[in-house]
Amino acid sequence: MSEAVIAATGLRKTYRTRQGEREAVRSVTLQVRSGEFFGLLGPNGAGKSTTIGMLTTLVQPTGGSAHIAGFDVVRQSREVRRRISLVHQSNAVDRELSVRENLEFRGRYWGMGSRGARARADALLEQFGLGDRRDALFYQLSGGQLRRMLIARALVHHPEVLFLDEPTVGIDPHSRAHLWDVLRELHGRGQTILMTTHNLDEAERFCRRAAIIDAGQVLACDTVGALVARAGGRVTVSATYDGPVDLAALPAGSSAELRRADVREATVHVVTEKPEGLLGELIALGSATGRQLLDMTTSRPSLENAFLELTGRTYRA
Amino acid sequence: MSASSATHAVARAAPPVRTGRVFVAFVARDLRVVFRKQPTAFLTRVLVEPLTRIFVFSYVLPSVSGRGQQPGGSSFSTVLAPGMLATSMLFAGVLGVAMPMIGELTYPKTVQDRLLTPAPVWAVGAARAVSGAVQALVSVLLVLPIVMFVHAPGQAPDIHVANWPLLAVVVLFGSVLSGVIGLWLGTAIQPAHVSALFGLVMMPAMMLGCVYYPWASLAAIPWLHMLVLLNPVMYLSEGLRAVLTPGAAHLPLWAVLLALVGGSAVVGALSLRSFRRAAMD
Repeated sequence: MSEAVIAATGLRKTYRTRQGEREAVRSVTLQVRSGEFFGLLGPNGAGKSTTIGMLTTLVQPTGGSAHIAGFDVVRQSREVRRRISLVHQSNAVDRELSVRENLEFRGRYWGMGSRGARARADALLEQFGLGDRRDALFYQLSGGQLRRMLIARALVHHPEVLFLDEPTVGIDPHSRAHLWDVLRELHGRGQTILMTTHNLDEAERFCRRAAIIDAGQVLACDTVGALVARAGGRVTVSATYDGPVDLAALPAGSSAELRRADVREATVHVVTEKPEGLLGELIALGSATGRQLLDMTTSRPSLENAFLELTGRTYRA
Repeated sequence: MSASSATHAVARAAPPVRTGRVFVAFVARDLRVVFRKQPTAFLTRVLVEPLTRIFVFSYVLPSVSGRGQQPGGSSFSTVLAPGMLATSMLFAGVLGVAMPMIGELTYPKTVQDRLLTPAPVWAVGAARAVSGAVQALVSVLLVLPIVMFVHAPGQAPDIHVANWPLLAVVVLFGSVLSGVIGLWLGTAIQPAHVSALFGLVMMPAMMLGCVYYPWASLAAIPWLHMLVLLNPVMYLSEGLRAVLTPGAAHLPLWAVLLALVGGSAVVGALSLRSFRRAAMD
Protein backbone atom coordinates (compact mmCIF):
# COMPACT_ATOMS: atom_id res chain seq x y z
CA MET A 1 0.00 0.00 0.00
CA SER A 2 1.40 3.39 -0.90
CA GLU A 3 1.72 6.12 1.71
CA ALA A 4 -1.17 8.45 2.54
CA VAL A 5 -1.03 11.69 0.55
CA ILE A 6 -3.82 13.19 2.66
CA ALA A 7 -3.86 12.30 6.34
CA ALA A 8 -6.15 14.02 8.81
CA THR A 9 -6.44 13.12 12.48
CA GLY A 10 -9.15 14.50 14.73
CA LEU A 11 -9.40 17.66 12.64
CA ARG A 12 -11.67 20.20 14.36
CA LYS A 13 -12.92 23.70 13.64
CA THR A 14 -14.91 25.86 16.01
CA TYR A 15 -16.11 29.30 14.99
CA ARG A 16 -16.71 31.91 17.64
CA THR A 17 -19.85 33.83 16.87
CA ARG A 18 -21.93 36.31 18.82
CA GLN A 19 -24.31 33.49 19.70
CA GLY A 20 -21.44 31.50 21.20
CA GLU A 21 -19.28 28.77 19.73
CA ARG A 22 -20.35 26.92 16.61
CA GLU A 23 -18.71 23.60 15.87
CA ALA A 24 -18.39 23.34 12.10
CA VAL A 25 -16.19 20.24 12.21
CA ARG A 26 -16.07 18.11 15.35
CA SER A 27 -13.61 15.43 14.41
CA VAL A 28 -12.48 14.34 10.99
CA THR A 29 -10.02 11.51 10.57
CA LEU A 30 -9.28 10.17 7.12
CA GLN A 31 -6.49 8.95 4.89
CA VAL A 32 -6.23 9.15 1.13
CA ARG A 33 -3.56 7.29 -0.78
CA SER A 34 -1.68 8.42 -3.83
CA GLY A 35 -3.71 8.06 -7.03
CA GLU A 36 -7.00 7.57 -5.20
CA PHE A 37 -10.27 9.20 -6.20
CA PHE A 38 -11.79 9.80 -2.79
CA GLY A 39 -15.30 11.05 -2.05
CA LEU A 40 -16.31 13.24 0.87
CA LEU A 41 -20.07 12.93 1.20
CA GLY A 42 -22.54 14.59 3.47
CA PRO A 43 -25.61 16.81 3.52
CA ASN A 44 -25.44 20.62 3.46
CA GLY A 45 -23.80 22.00 6.56
CA ALA A 46 -22.15 18.67 7.40
CA GLY A 47 -18.71 20.29 7.46
CA LYS A 48 -17.43 19.20 4.04
CA SER A 49 -16.33 22.64 2.87
CA THR A 50 -14.76 23.53 6.21
CA THR A 51 -12.84 20.25 6.09
CA ILE A 52 -11.59 21.04 2.59
CA GLY A 53 -10.75 24.57 3.78
CA MET A 54 -8.52 23.15 6.53
CA LEU A 55 -6.87 20.61 4.23
CA THR A 56 -6.07 23.37 1.72
CA THR A 57 -4.73 25.78 4.41
CA LEU A 58 -7.48 28.37 3.87
CA VAL A 59 -9.11 27.65 7.23
CA GLN A 60 -7.08 27.45 10.46
CA PRO A 61 -8.00 24.27 12.38
CA THR A 62 -8.97 24.67 16.04
CA GLY A 63 -7.66 21.21 16.86
CA GLY A 64 -6.30 17.99 15.41
CA SER A 65 -3.78 17.82 12.61
CA ALA A 66 -3.55 17.22 8.88
CA HIS A 67 -0.72 16.47 6.51
CA ILE A 68 -0.57 16.69 2.74
CA ALA A 69 2.28 14.73 1.15
CA GLY A 70 3.84 14.68 4.60
CA PHE A 71 3.67 18.44 5.19
CA ASP A 72 1.70 19.95 8.07
CA VAL A 73 -1.16 22.15 6.83
CA VAL A 74 -0.59 24.71 9.59
CA ARG A 75 3.17 24.83 10.10
CA GLN A 76 4.19 24.07 6.52
CA SER A 77 1.25 25.67 4.73
CA ARG A 78 3.37 27.02 1.87
CA GLU A 79 4.83 23.59 1.15
CA VAL A 80 1.29 22.24 1.17
CA ARG A 81 -0.03 24.93 -1.18
CA ARG A 82 2.80 24.21 -3.60
CA ARG A 83 1.48 20.69 -4.04
CA ILE A 84 -2.28 21.13 -4.16
CA SER A 85 -5.04 22.73 -6.16
CA LEU A 86 -8.58 23.53 -5.15
CA VAL A 87 -11.52 23.93 -7.48
CA HIS A 88 -13.97 25.75 -5.31
CA GLN A 89 -17.74 25.55 -5.66
CA SER A 90 -18.00 29.36 -5.64
CA ASN A 91 -16.18 29.68 -8.97
CA ALA A 92 -13.46 31.89 -7.50
CA VAL A 93 -12.14 32.94 -10.89
CA ASP A 94 -10.15 36.15 -11.37
CA ARG A 95 -12.91 38.22 -12.94
CA GLU A 96 -10.69 40.91 -14.41
CA LEU A 97 -8.56 38.44 -16.36
CA SER A 98 -9.36 36.49 -19.51
CA VAL A 99 -9.51 32.68 -19.54
CA ARG A 100 -5.96 32.44 -20.81
CA GLU A 101 -4.64 35.05 -18.35
CA ASN A 102 -6.27 33.18 -15.49
CA LEU A 103 -4.17 30.15 -16.38
CA GLU A 104 -1.09 32.18 -17.23
CA PHE A 105 -1.03 33.95 -13.87
CA ARG A 106 -1.75 30.69 -12.09
CA GLY A 107 1.53 29.44 -13.54
CA ARG A 108 3.38 32.61 -12.58
CA TYR A 109 2.04 32.47 -9.03
CA TRP A 110 3.69 29.06 -8.80
CA GLY A 111 7.02 30.42 -9.97
CA MET A 112 6.85 29.75 -13.74
CA GLY A 113 8.28 32.28 -16.17
CA SER A 114 5.70 34.19 -18.18
CA ARG A 115 6.54 32.47 -21.47
CA GLY A 116 6.42 29.02 -19.90
CA ALA A 117 3.18 29.86 -18.13
CA ARG A 118 1.56 31.03 -21.37
CA ALA A 119 2.62 27.86 -23.20
CA ARG A 120 1.27 25.68 -20.39
CA ALA A 121 -1.98 27.69 -20.42
CA ASP A 122 -2.44 27.23 -24.17
CA ALA A 123 -1.75 23.51 -23.98
CA LEU A 124 -4.28 22.99 -21.18
CA LEU A 125 -6.94 25.13 -22.87
CA GLU A 126 -6.55 23.05 -26.04
CA GLN A 127 -6.78 19.85 -24.03
CA PHE A 128 -9.94 21.03 -22.26
CA GLY A 129 -11.63 22.17 -25.46
CA LEU A 130 -11.39 25.83 -24.55
CA GLY A 131 -8.86 26.90 -27.17
CA ASP A 132 -11.34 29.15 -28.94
CA ARG A 133 -12.47 30.75 -25.64
CA ARG A 134 -9.05 31.87 -24.47
CA ASP A 135 -9.81 35.58 -24.68
CA ALA A 136 -13.25 35.34 -23.09
CA LEU A 137 -14.01 36.80 -19.68
CA PHE A 138 -15.66 34.62 -17.05
CA TYR A 139 -19.18 35.92 -17.64
CA GLN A 140 -18.95 35.06 -21.33
CA LEU A 141 -18.53 31.35 -20.55
CA SER A 142 -21.28 28.82 -20.04
CA GLY A 143 -21.47 27.13 -16.65
CA GLY A 144 -19.82 24.00 -18.01
CA GLN A 145 -17.04 25.91 -19.77
CA LEU A 146 -16.32 27.88 -16.62
CA ARG A 147 -16.05 24.70 -14.57
CA ARG A 148 -13.70 23.16 -17.17
CA MET A 149 -11.62 26.31 -17.13
CA LEU A 150 -11.32 26.14 -13.33
CA ILE A 151 -10.17 22.52 -13.52
CA ALA A 152 -7.70 23.35 -16.29
CA ARG A 153 -6.40 26.25 -14.19
CA ALA A 154 -6.05 23.96 -11.19
CA LEU A 155 -3.74 21.68 -13.18
CA VAL A 156 -1.31 24.36 -14.40
CA HIS A 157 1.29 23.66 -11.73
CA HIS A 158 0.96 19.84 -11.77
CA PRO A 159 -0.58 19.48 -8.29
CA GLU A 160 -0.07 16.24 -6.41
CA VAL A 161 -3.54 16.49 -4.92
CA LEU A 162 -6.59 18.00 -6.58
CA PHE A 163 -9.47 19.08 -4.33
CA LEU A 164 -12.84 19.39 -6.04
CA ASP A 165 -15.61 21.01 -4.04
CA GLU A 166 -18.95 20.10 -5.65
CA PRO A 167 -17.53 20.04 -9.19
CA THR A 168 -20.81 19.43 -11.02
CA VAL A 169 -23.26 21.56 -9.07
CA GLY A 170 -25.30 23.95 -11.17
CA ILE A 171 -24.32 22.76 -14.63
CA ASP A 172 -26.47 21.11 -17.27
CA PRO A 173 -26.44 17.31 -17.87
CA HIS A 174 -24.47 17.61 -21.12
CA SER A 175 -21.71 19.63 -19.47
CA ARG A 176 -21.74 17.26 -16.55
CA ALA A 177 -21.14 14.31 -18.83
CA HIS A 178 -18.26 16.20 -20.43
CA LEU A 179 -16.82 17.03 -17.01
CA TRP A 180 -17.13 13.38 -15.98
CA ASP A 181 -15.00 12.44 -18.98
CA VAL A 182 -12.42 14.96 -17.84
CA LEU A 183 -12.40 13.56 -14.30
CA ARG A 184 -12.18 9.98 -15.56
CA GLU A 185 -9.18 10.87 -17.69
CA LEU A 186 -7.45 12.69 -14.84
CA HIS A 187 -7.97 9.76 -12.52
CA GLY A 188 -6.75 7.40 -15.22
CA ARG A 189 -3.52 9.36 -15.38
CA GLY A 190 -3.01 8.79 -11.67
CA GLN A 191 -4.12 12.16 -10.33
CA THR A 192 -5.02 11.99 -6.63
CA ILE A 193 -8.45 13.57 -6.24
CA LEU A 194 -10.56 14.38 -3.20
CA MET A 195 -14.07 15.35 -4.23
CA THR A 196 -17.07 16.50 -2.27
CA THR A 197 -20.35 15.94 -4.00
CA HIS A 198 -24.07 16.11 -3.49
CA ASN A 199 -24.49 13.59 -6.24
CA LEU A 200 -24.23 10.07 -4.83
CA ASP A 201 -24.47 8.61 -8.29
CA GLU A 202 -21.38 10.63 -9.14
CA ALA A 203 -19.60 9.34 -6.05
CA GLU A 204 -20.46 5.72 -6.90
CA ARG A 205 -19.31 6.29 -10.45
CA PHE A 206 -15.84 7.59 -9.56
CA CYS A 207 -14.81 6.98 -6.00
CA ARG A 208 -13.42 3.67 -4.84
CA ARG A 209 -13.43 4.91 -1.27
CA ALA A 210 -15.51 7.54 0.46
CA ALA A 211 -16.19 9.09 3.83
CA ILE A 212 -19.70 9.98 4.89
CA ILE A 213 -19.74 12.94 7.22
CA ASP A 214 -22.59 14.53 9.09
CA ALA A 215 -22.70 17.12 11.87
CA GLY A 216 -18.94 17.59 11.55
CA GLN A 217 -18.02 13.95 12.12
CA VAL A 218 -16.97 11.04 9.95
CA LEU A 219 -19.72 8.44 10.30
CA ALA A 220 -18.07 5.93 8.01
CA CYS A 221 -14.98 5.79 5.86
CA ASP A 222 -14.62 2.77 3.64
CA THR A 223 -14.74 1.48 0.10
CA VAL A 224 -17.95 2.44 -1.65
CA GLY A 225 -18.80 -1.26 -1.95
CA ALA A 226 -18.44 -1.76 1.80
CA LEU A 227 -20.51 1.36 2.51
CA VAL A 228 -23.25 0.08 0.27
CA ALA A 229 -23.10 -3.32 1.99
CA ARG A 230 -23.78 -1.54 5.30
CA ALA A 231 -27.24 -0.80 4.03
CA GLY A 232 -27.83 -4.47 4.77
CA GLY A 233 -27.83 -5.70 1.20
CA ARG A 234 -31.53 -4.91 0.89
CA VAL A 235 -33.00 -4.15 -2.50
CA THR A 236 -36.31 -2.67 -3.53
CA VAL A 237 -38.41 -4.64 -6.02
CA SER A 238 -41.15 -2.64 -7.77
CA ALA A 239 -43.93 -4.43 -9.63
CA THR A 240 -46.50 -2.70 -11.83
CA TYR A 241 -49.86 -4.27 -12.82
CA ASP A 242 -52.54 -3.31 -15.33
CA GLY A 243 -54.73 -2.03 -12.50
CA PRO A 244 -54.89 -1.58 -8.69
CA VAL A 245 -54.07 -4.62 -6.56
CA ASP A 246 -54.93 -5.44 -2.96
CA LEU A 247 -52.59 -7.20 -0.51
CA ALA A 248 -55.63 -8.60 1.29
CA ALA A 249 -55.97 -11.01 -1.63
CA LEU A 250 -52.52 -12.53 -0.94
CA PRO A 251 -52.63 -16.30 -0.77
CA ALA A 252 -51.71 -17.92 2.54
CA GLY A 253 -48.00 -18.66 2.89
CA SER A 254 -46.86 -15.51 1.11
CA SER A 255 -43.58 -14.06 2.34
CA ALA A 256 -43.53 -11.55 5.20
CA GLU A 257 -41.74 -8.97 3.04
CA LEU A 258 -44.54 -9.01 0.52
CA ARG A 259 -47.13 -8.66 3.26
CA ARG A 260 -45.33 -5.49 4.45
CA ALA A 261 -45.10 -4.09 0.91
CA ASP A 262 -45.96 -0.52 0.05
CA VAL A 263 -48.92 -0.47 -2.39
CA ARG A 264 -49.60 2.60 -4.49
CA GLU A 265 -52.46 2.01 -6.93
CA ALA A 266 -51.13 -0.40 -9.53
CA THR A 267 -47.57 -0.51 -8.20
CA VAL A 268 -46.18 -2.57 -5.33
CA HIS A 269 -42.78 -1.79 -3.72
CA VAL A 270 -41.21 -4.63 -1.77
CA VAL A 271 -38.06 -4.20 0.31
CA THR A 272 -36.27 -7.51 0.64
CA GLU A 273 -32.94 -9.17 1.23
CA LYS A 274 -33.87 -12.12 -0.98
CA PRO A 275 -35.37 -10.92 -4.27
CA GLU A 276 -35.23 -14.41 -5.77
CA GLY A 277 -38.57 -16.22 -5.59
CA LEU A 278 -40.47 -12.96 -5.35
CA LEU A 279 -41.47 -13.03 -9.04
CA GLY A 280 -43.73 -16.07 -8.58
CA GLU A 281 -45.41 -14.49 -5.57
CA LEU A 282 -46.01 -11.25 -7.46
CA ILE A 283 -47.61 -13.07 -10.36
CA ALA A 284 -49.76 -14.97 -7.86
CA LEU A 285 -50.83 -11.67 -6.28
CA GLY A 286 -51.86 -10.44 -9.73
CA SER A 287 -53.98 -13.47 -10.55
CA ALA A 288 -55.58 -13.41 -7.08
CA THR A 289 -56.89 -9.89 -7.83
CA GLY A 290 -57.52 -10.45 -11.56
CA ARG A 291 -54.60 -8.29 -12.68
CA GLN A 292 -51.74 -8.93 -14.98
CA LEU A 293 -48.12 -8.17 -14.04
CA LEU A 294 -46.78 -5.72 -16.64
CA ASP A 295 -43.35 -4.78 -15.36
CA MET A 296 -40.91 -5.51 -12.57
CA THR A 297 -37.72 -3.63 -11.64
CA THR A 298 -35.10 -4.26 -8.99
CA SER A 299 -33.10 -1.36 -7.55
CA ARG A 300 -29.69 -2.53 -6.46
CA PRO A 301 -28.37 -1.46 -3.05
CA SER A 302 -26.88 2.01 -3.38
CA LEU A 303 -24.92 4.63 -1.51
CA GLU A 304 -28.22 6.38 -1.03
CA ASN A 305 -29.42 3.44 1.08
CA ALA A 306 -26.13 3.47 2.99
CA PHE A 307 -26.45 7.17 3.61
CA LEU A 308 -29.99 6.77 4.86
CA GLU A 309 -28.90 3.92 7.11
CA LEU A 310 -26.02 5.96 8.63
CA THR A 311 -27.56 9.38 9.02
CA GLY A 312 -31.21 8.50 9.33
CA ARG A 313 -32.15 10.93 6.60
CA THR A 314 -32.20 11.09 2.84
CA TYR A 315 -29.19 12.62 1.18
CA ARG A 316 -30.83 15.68 -0.28
CA ALA A 317 -32.70 16.53 2.90
CA MET B 1 6.00 3.32 -16.03
CA SER B 2 2.65 4.78 -15.11
CA ALA B 3 1.64 8.33 -15.85
CA SER B 4 1.10 8.77 -12.13
CA SER B 5 4.72 8.25 -11.18
CA ALA B 6 5.73 10.67 -13.93
CA THR B 7 3.40 13.36 -12.56
CA HIS B 8 4.76 12.87 -9.09
CA ALA B 9 8.35 12.90 -10.21
CA VAL B 10 7.68 16.29 -11.81
CA ALA B 11 5.90 17.63 -8.74
CA ARG B 12 8.52 16.46 -6.28
CA ALA B 13 11.47 17.65 -8.33
CA ALA B 14 10.00 21.14 -8.79
CA PRO B 15 12.27 23.78 -7.28
CA PRO B 16 10.95 25.72 -4.28
CA VAL B 17 8.87 28.74 -5.26
CA ARG B 18 10.57 31.99 -4.26
CA THR B 19 8.31 34.53 -2.56
CA GLY B 20 9.87 37.43 -4.47
CA ARG B 21 8.92 35.86 -7.76
CA VAL B 22 5.32 35.29 -6.72
CA PHE B 23 5.17 38.82 -5.32
CA VAL B 24 6.26 40.22 -8.69
CA ALA B 25 3.56 38.12 -10.38
CA PHE B 26 0.90 39.50 -7.99
CA VAL B 27 1.92 43.08 -8.78
CA ALA B 28 2.16 42.31 -12.50
CA ARG B 29 -1.39 40.95 -12.40
CA ASP B 30 -2.74 44.14 -10.77
CA LEU B 31 -0.84 46.46 -13.09
CA ARG B 32 -1.97 44.53 -16.13
CA VAL B 33 -5.59 44.91 -15.03
CA VAL B 34 -5.26 48.62 -14.23
CA PHE B 35 -3.08 49.84 -17.07
CA ARG B 36 -3.60 47.39 -19.90
CA LYS B 37 -7.10 46.07 -19.49
CA GLN B 38 -8.90 49.02 -17.93
CA PRO B 39 -6.83 52.12 -18.86
CA THR B 40 -9.91 54.27 -19.48
CA ALA B 41 -11.24 53.57 -16.01
CA PHE B 42 -7.88 54.49 -14.48
CA LEU B 43 -7.49 57.69 -16.51
CA THR B 44 -11.04 58.78 -15.72
CA ARG B 45 -10.52 58.11 -12.02
CA VAL B 46 -7.21 59.94 -11.91
CA LEU B 47 -7.70 62.84 -14.34
CA VAL B 48 -11.28 64.09 -14.35
CA GLU B 49 -11.54 65.19 -10.74
CA PRO B 50 -8.25 67.19 -10.60
CA LEU B 51 -8.83 68.63 -14.06
CA THR B 52 -12.24 70.05 -13.17
CA ARG B 53 -11.08 71.29 -9.75
CA ILE B 54 -8.00 73.00 -11.16
CA PHE B 55 -10.04 74.40 -14.04
CA VAL B 56 -12.49 75.99 -11.58
CA PHE B 57 -9.92 77.25 -9.08
CA SER B 58 -7.09 78.30 -11.37
CA TYR B 59 -8.98 79.38 -14.47
CA VAL B 60 -12.69 80.07 -13.88
CA LEU B 61 -12.51 81.80 -10.50
CA PRO B 62 -9.59 84.11 -11.32
CA SER B 63 -11.26 84.95 -14.64
CA VAL B 64 -14.67 85.84 -13.18
CA SER B 65 -13.44 87.64 -10.05
CA GLY B 66 -10.84 89.85 -11.73
CA ARG B 67 -7.13 89.32 -11.87
CA GLY B 68 -5.00 89.41 -8.80
CA GLN B 69 -7.97 88.91 -6.45
CA GLN B 70 -8.10 85.84 -4.18
CA PRO B 71 -8.59 82.99 -4.70
CA GLY B 72 -7.01 83.81 -8.06
CA GLY B 73 -3.52 85.11 -8.46
CA SER B 74 -0.36 83.16 -9.00
CA SER B 75 0.22 82.98 -5.27
CA PHE B 76 -2.98 80.93 -4.98
CA SER B 77 -2.16 78.59 -7.85
CA THR B 78 1.23 78.06 -6.22
CA VAL B 79 -0.47 77.05 -2.97
CA LEU B 80 -3.00 74.90 -4.84
CA ALA B 81 -0.57 72.95 -7.07
CA PRO B 82 1.07 70.76 -4.37
CA GLY B 83 -2.29 70.27 -2.65
CA MET B 84 -3.85 69.03 -5.88
CA LEU B 85 -0.98 66.63 -6.49
CA ALA B 86 -1.31 65.31 -2.94
CA THR B 87 -5.06 64.66 -3.18
CA SER B 88 -4.65 63.04 -6.61
CA MET B 89 -2.01 60.67 -5.28
CA LEU B 90 -4.05 59.68 -2.26
CA PHE B 91 -7.21 59.28 -4.30
CA ALA B 92 -5.46 57.09 -6.86
CA GLY B 93 -3.67 54.93 -4.29
CA VAL B 94 -6.50 54.54 -1.80
CA LEU B 95 -9.27 53.90 -4.32
CA GLY B 96 -7.03 51.79 -6.56
CA VAL B 97 -6.51 49.39 -3.65
CA ALA B 98 -9.62 49.67 -1.47
CA MET B 99 -12.32 49.24 -4.11
CA PRO B 100 -11.04 46.03 -5.75
CA MET B 101 -10.01 44.68 -2.33
CA ILE B 102 -13.53 45.05 -0.95
CA GLY B 103 -14.87 43.28 -4.04
CA GLU B 104 -12.37 40.43 -3.86
CA LEU B 105 -13.02 39.78 -0.18
CA THR B 106 -16.78 39.53 -0.63
CA TYR B 107 -18.33 36.19 -1.61
CA PRO B 108 -17.20 34.56 -3.81
CA LYS B 109 -13.84 35.49 -2.33
CA THR B 110 -11.92 35.78 -5.57
CA VAL B 111 -8.76 36.67 -3.64
CA GLN B 112 -8.59 32.96 -2.79
CA ASP B 113 -6.82 32.19 -6.03
CA ARG B 114 -3.89 34.17 -4.65
CA LEU B 115 -4.24 32.92 -1.07
CA LEU B 116 -3.77 29.38 -2.39
CA THR B 117 -0.40 30.17 -3.97
CA PRO B 118 2.81 29.07 -2.27
CA ALA B 119 3.45 32.66 -1.09
CA PRO B 120 2.88 33.72 2.51
CA VAL B 121 -0.50 35.37 3.14
CA TRP B 122 0.99 38.80 3.89
CA ALA B 123 2.56 38.88 0.42
CA VAL B 124 -0.89 38.94 -1.20
CA GLY B 125 -1.87 42.08 0.75
CA ALA B 126 1.53 43.74 0.46
CA ALA B 127 1.58 43.25 -3.32
CA ARG B 128 -1.80 44.95 -3.57
CA ALA B 129 -0.51 47.93 -1.54
CA VAL B 130 2.50 48.14 -3.86
CA SER B 131 0.26 48.20 -6.92
CA GLY B 132 -1.68 51.03 -5.24
CA ALA B 133 1.58 52.92 -4.70
CA VAL B 134 2.44 52.51 -8.40
CA GLN B 135 -0.97 53.94 -9.33
CA ALA B 136 -0.36 56.92 -7.01
CA LEU B 137 3.04 57.45 -8.63
CA VAL B 138 1.58 57.38 -12.13
CA SER B 139 -1.20 59.74 -11.10
CA VAL B 140 1.25 62.38 -9.90
CA LEU B 141 2.98 62.26 -13.28
CA LEU B 142 -0.36 62.66 -15.07
CA VAL B 143 -1.69 65.47 -12.90
CA LEU B 144 1.55 67.47 -12.87
CA PRO B 145 1.10 68.86 -16.42
CA ILE B 146 -2.49 69.83 -15.51
CA VAL B 147 -1.45 71.92 -12.51
CA MET B 148 1.37 73.44 -14.57
CA PHE B 149 -0.61 74.41 -17.64
CA VAL B 150 -4.28 74.82 -16.71
CA HIS B 151 -4.63 78.34 -15.31
CA ALA B 152 -5.82 81.84 -16.21
CA PRO B 153 -3.34 83.87 -18.27
CA GLY B 154 -0.33 85.01 -16.28
CA GLN B 155 -1.21 82.94 -13.22
CA ALA B 156 1.05 79.93 -13.59
CA PRO B 157 2.08 78.33 -10.28
CA ASP B 158 5.61 79.12 -9.20
CA ILE B 159 7.03 75.58 -9.20
CA HIS B 160 10.74 74.82 -9.11
CA VAL B 161 12.46 71.80 -7.71
CA ALA B 162 15.50 72.64 -5.61
CA ASN B 163 16.23 69.14 -4.39
CA TRP B 164 15.34 66.24 -6.70
CA PRO B 165 16.28 63.38 -4.35
CA LEU B 166 14.09 64.92 -1.66
CA LEU B 167 11.23 65.20 -4.13
CA ALA B 168 11.71 61.53 -4.97
CA VAL B 169 11.60 60.53 -1.28
CA VAL B 170 8.44 62.57 -0.58
CA VAL B 171 6.64 61.22 -3.68
CA LEU B 172 7.78 57.66 -3.01
CA PHE B 173 6.64 57.55 0.61
CA GLY B 174 3.49 59.49 -0.23
CA SER B 175 2.68 56.76 -2.76
CA VAL B 176 3.42 53.96 -0.31
CA LEU B 177 1.30 55.67 2.34
CA SER B 178 -1.67 55.93 -0.01
CA GLY B 179 -1.30 52.25 -0.99
CA VAL B 180 -1.28 51.00 2.61
CA ILE B 181 -4.14 53.31 3.63
CA GLY B 182 -6.09 51.81 0.72
CA LEU B 183 -5.30 48.29 1.91
CA TRP B 184 -6.32 49.14 5.45
CA LEU B 185 -9.64 50.70 4.44
CA GLY B 186 -10.32 47.98 1.87
CA THR B 187 -9.87 45.20 4.44
CA ALA B 188 -11.44 46.87 7.48
CA ILE B 189 -14.60 48.23 5.86
CA GLN B 190 -17.72 46.13 5.32
CA PRO B 191 -18.97 46.26 1.71
CA ALA B 192 -22.21 47.81 2.96
CA HIS B 193 -20.28 50.80 4.32
CA VAL B 194 -18.49 51.75 1.09
CA SER B 195 -20.55 54.90 0.63
CA ALA B 196 -19.58 55.96 4.16
CA LEU B 197 -15.95 55.61 3.10
CA PHE B 198 -16.47 58.49 0.68
CA GLY B 199 -18.77 60.63 2.78
CA LEU B 200 -17.15 60.26 6.17
CA VAL B 201 -13.50 59.56 5.39
CA MET B 202 -12.38 60.60 1.92
CA MET B 203 -14.28 63.88 1.56
CA PRO B 204 -13.35 65.46 4.93
CA ALA B 205 -9.75 64.25 4.55
CA MET B 206 -9.48 65.84 1.10
CA MET B 207 -11.22 69.09 2.05
CA LEU B 208 -9.28 69.49 5.30
CA GLY B 209 -5.93 68.34 3.96
CA CYS B 210 -4.42 71.83 3.66
CA VAL B 211 -4.97 71.62 -0.08
CA TYR B 212 -6.15 75.21 -0.60
CA TYR B 213 -4.03 76.92 2.06
CA PRO B 214 -0.77 76.17 3.84
CA TRP B 215 -0.92 74.61 7.28
CA ALA B 216 0.75 77.68 8.82
CA SER B 217 -2.22 79.86 7.84
CA LEU B 218 -4.51 77.69 10.02
CA ALA B 219 -2.91 79.32 13.10
CA ALA B 220 -5.92 81.62 12.88
CA ILE B 221 -8.16 78.65 13.87
CA PRO B 222 -6.17 76.96 16.63
CA TRP B 223 -8.38 73.86 17.09
CA LEU B 224 -8.36 73.09 13.37
CA HIS B 225 -4.62 73.82 13.28
CA MET B 226 -4.14 70.92 15.73
CA LEU B 227 -6.88 68.64 14.39
CA VAL B 228 -5.48 68.42 10.87
CA LEU B 229 -2.23 67.06 12.29
CA LEU B 230 -4.10 63.72 12.18
CA ASN B 231 -4.76 64.00 8.46
CA PRO B 232 -2.30 62.21 6.18
CA VAL B 233 -3.38 64.37 3.23
CA MET B 234 -2.03 67.40 5.09
CA TYR B 235 1.47 65.91 5.43
CA LEU B 236 1.61 65.04 1.76
CA SER B 237 0.33 68.49 0.70
CA GLU B 238 2.87 70.21 2.95
CA GLY B 239 5.63 67.82 1.91
CA LEU B 240 5.06 68.56 -1.77
CA ARG B 241 4.96 72.27 -0.93
CA ALA B 242 8.35 71.90 0.72
CA VAL B 243 9.92 70.27 -2.35
CA LEU B 244 8.00 71.90 -5.25
CA THR B 245 7.25 75.44 -4.06
CA PRO B 246 9.89 76.07 -1.41
CA GLY B 247 9.02 79.79 -1.49
CA ALA B 248 5.59 79.13 0.05
CA ALA B 249 5.08 78.50 3.76
CA HIS B 250 5.24 74.79 4.65
CA LEU B 251 5.67 72.34 7.51
CA PRO B 252 9.30 71.58 8.44
CA LEU B 253 10.62 68.80 6.27
CA TRP B 254 11.62 66.57 9.20
CA ALA B 255 7.99 66.53 10.37
CA VAL B 256 6.77 65.66 6.89
CA LEU B 257 9.26 62.82 6.45
CA LEU B 258 8.59 61.48 9.93
CA ALA B 259 4.86 61.41 9.20
CA LEU B 260 5.17 59.87 5.72
CA VAL B 261 7.77 57.22 6.61
CA GLY B 262 6.42 56.49 10.09
CA GLY B 263 2.85 56.53 8.82
CA SER B 264 3.71 54.10 6.02
CA ALA B 265 5.29 51.72 8.53
CA VAL B 266 2.52 51.88 11.13
CA VAL B 267 -0.44 51.81 8.71
CA GLY B 268 1.44 49.18 6.66
CA ALA B 269 1.63 46.85 9.68
CA LEU B 270 -1.99 47.52 10.62
CA SER B 271 -3.19 46.92 7.07
CA LEU B 272 -1.37 43.59 6.73
CA ARG B 273 -2.89 42.41 9.99
CA SER B 274 -6.30 43.56 8.86
CA PHE B 275 -5.80 41.82 5.50
CA ARG B 276 -4.93 38.55 7.17
CA ARG B 277 -8.01 38.75 9.34
CA ALA B 278 -10.28 39.54 6.40
CA ALA B 279 -8.76 36.96 4.08
CA MET B 280 -8.52 33.89 6.31
CA ASP B 281 -11.41 32.09 7.98
